[in-house]
Amino acid sequence: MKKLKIEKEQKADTVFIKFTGSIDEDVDFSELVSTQSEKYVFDFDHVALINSCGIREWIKYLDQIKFKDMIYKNCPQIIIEQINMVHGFIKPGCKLQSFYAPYFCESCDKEVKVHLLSASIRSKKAPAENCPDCNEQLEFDALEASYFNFLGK
Amino acid sequence: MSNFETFDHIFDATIGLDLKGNIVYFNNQALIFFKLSLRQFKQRNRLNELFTAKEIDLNQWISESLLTFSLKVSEETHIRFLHDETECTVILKLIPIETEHGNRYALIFQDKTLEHTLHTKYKEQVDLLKDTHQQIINADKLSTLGQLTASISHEINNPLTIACGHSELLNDFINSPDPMEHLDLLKSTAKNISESLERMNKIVINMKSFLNDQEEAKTYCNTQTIIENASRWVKAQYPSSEIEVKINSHPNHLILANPLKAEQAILNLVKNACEALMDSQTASPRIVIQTTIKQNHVIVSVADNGPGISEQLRSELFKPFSTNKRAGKGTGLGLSICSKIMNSHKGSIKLLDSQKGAHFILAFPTTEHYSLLQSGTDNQAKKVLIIDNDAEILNHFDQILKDTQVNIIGSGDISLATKALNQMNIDLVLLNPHFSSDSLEAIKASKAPLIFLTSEELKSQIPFEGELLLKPYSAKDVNNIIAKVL
Repeated sequence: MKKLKIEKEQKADTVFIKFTGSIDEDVDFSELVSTQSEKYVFDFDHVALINSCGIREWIKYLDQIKFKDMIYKNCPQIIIEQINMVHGFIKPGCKLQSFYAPYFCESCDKEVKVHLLSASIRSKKAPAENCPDCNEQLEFDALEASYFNFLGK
Repeated sequence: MSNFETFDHIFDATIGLDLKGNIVYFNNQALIFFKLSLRQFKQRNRLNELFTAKEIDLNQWISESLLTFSLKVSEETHIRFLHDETECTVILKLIPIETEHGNRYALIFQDKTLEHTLHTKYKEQVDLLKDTHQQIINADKLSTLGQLTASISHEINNPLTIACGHSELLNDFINSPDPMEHLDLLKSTAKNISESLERMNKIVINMKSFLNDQEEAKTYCNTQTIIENASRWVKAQYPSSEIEVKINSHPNHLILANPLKAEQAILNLVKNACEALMDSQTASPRIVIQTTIKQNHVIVSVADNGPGISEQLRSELFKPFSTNKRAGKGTGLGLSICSKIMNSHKGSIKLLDSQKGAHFILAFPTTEHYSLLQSGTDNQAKKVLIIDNDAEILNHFDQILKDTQVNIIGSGDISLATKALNQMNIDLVLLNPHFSSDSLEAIKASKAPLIFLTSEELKSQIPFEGELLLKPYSAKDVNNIIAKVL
């Protein structure tokens, strides 16, 4: 499995951190601990896998940093599933800005991961989305109550 | 279906089944575990459309539970997902549930894949570490070998000089007008050449055995000889140094050891002492090596008057890579190897507190105590105590009797042998009678049958009556006389 690549970019009082690869037993967040900032933006767009060892390291890392603002963005389905399941994956005061949700297009017979903004979700219901190819309405392809559970956290 | 709702909130993938094996429920974790979307999962009605189990027959396993409507838990098993061919390690739990629609089952998948993966990774890493450790040990061996080369050259040089000298003599005799006139001299010269070459061959064989790690067999060794070999290294390695090596050892202190390994352990301590003395430029540098007997052990003590070992290093001293030598001067493995060698000899290594310099002791079990430690393995075998201070004699008997139903306990010291007689049920004593008569009386008093080891010339000096075994102690004679007495 590909080792996690961590890219950092500091702009003013915000550090932008982008992950690519697997957050698993081989992950090492120690280089991030030394990066102290007031605002953190974590981009999970290219995380391919996360397992319980990786989650433990992530929570350990979060416990070591102090922040005023923290944002998770572009969270793929595997991250959302962990956020829903594991207490501490997202810290109080942290905002989940955007994520992917599984939809299905019956007319194209294909799965579509739709990028959603948390702010656009009402009452933990999947918003209506159309297929980017045929423009037909997509069907949400997960258990709504479970999938959007994180919004109440 | 209200009873299945409990499973919505657990962290294990759960599938509900009716009595016909149809899927009637699944929780969100099942979607995550099987990596299927809601739509994909809904399209599957039976377990065999989801996965196959490797170690168990799933239908039979479930049927057994259906008969008794009881809880069933599987061994760890591998399952293969049909949609993507990936494998997981799980423990399956089948729980009977009474619902408003009748009896149902909840099949819970306890995912052990990560534990399994981590265990495999751990094993691979341990294997890698073992390989690396072995490589380092081998590297250290080569380094030791390099240092031993000086000693080996020195050892080979003596028989080589003798062989060269005698071959020149041989040449002179052959070229003389009447070579047959010098027949006796020719014979003795040829014998000397042959013995010298044999000695060189033995040195080379020992060196090969050191490199190939095939030297596990233990033999009776005289600590004095081992210490002298190790101290010879100092003279060869530091010919012009002022280091004085003082040896105070007893010729009867025998141990049951691998001579090369025992020598390596002592040599490592001597080497460390020499390097410390040279580096610190200690005035009147001195190394004292002595042997004593204490609590069933032959204690080999190596002490120097150098700078000693720092407090910081003491606690880590016998762990690999502990060194206070300068970078590049040592691998830090010498003492850890010593410790390993001593463990393999049922002995120990210790650093003593000393006011000046470093003072190490190696404790080898006495040959008698070593035999006592080993004696638990075969209580049926007859025990034969052989008392002779010549390690070669003891090894000779060991070779003859190794494949028989006899356990031999060799002893080089009459007082230790007497002690062994009192501690163990000895069936027979083979004794070299050339010890003091008081000691012999103690042996005689033990009532164990006695056979004297002697020669045709000395047999008249035997102080009291007993069976005699005469030199050269042939295998046939040894077996016959032991069979006769036992």
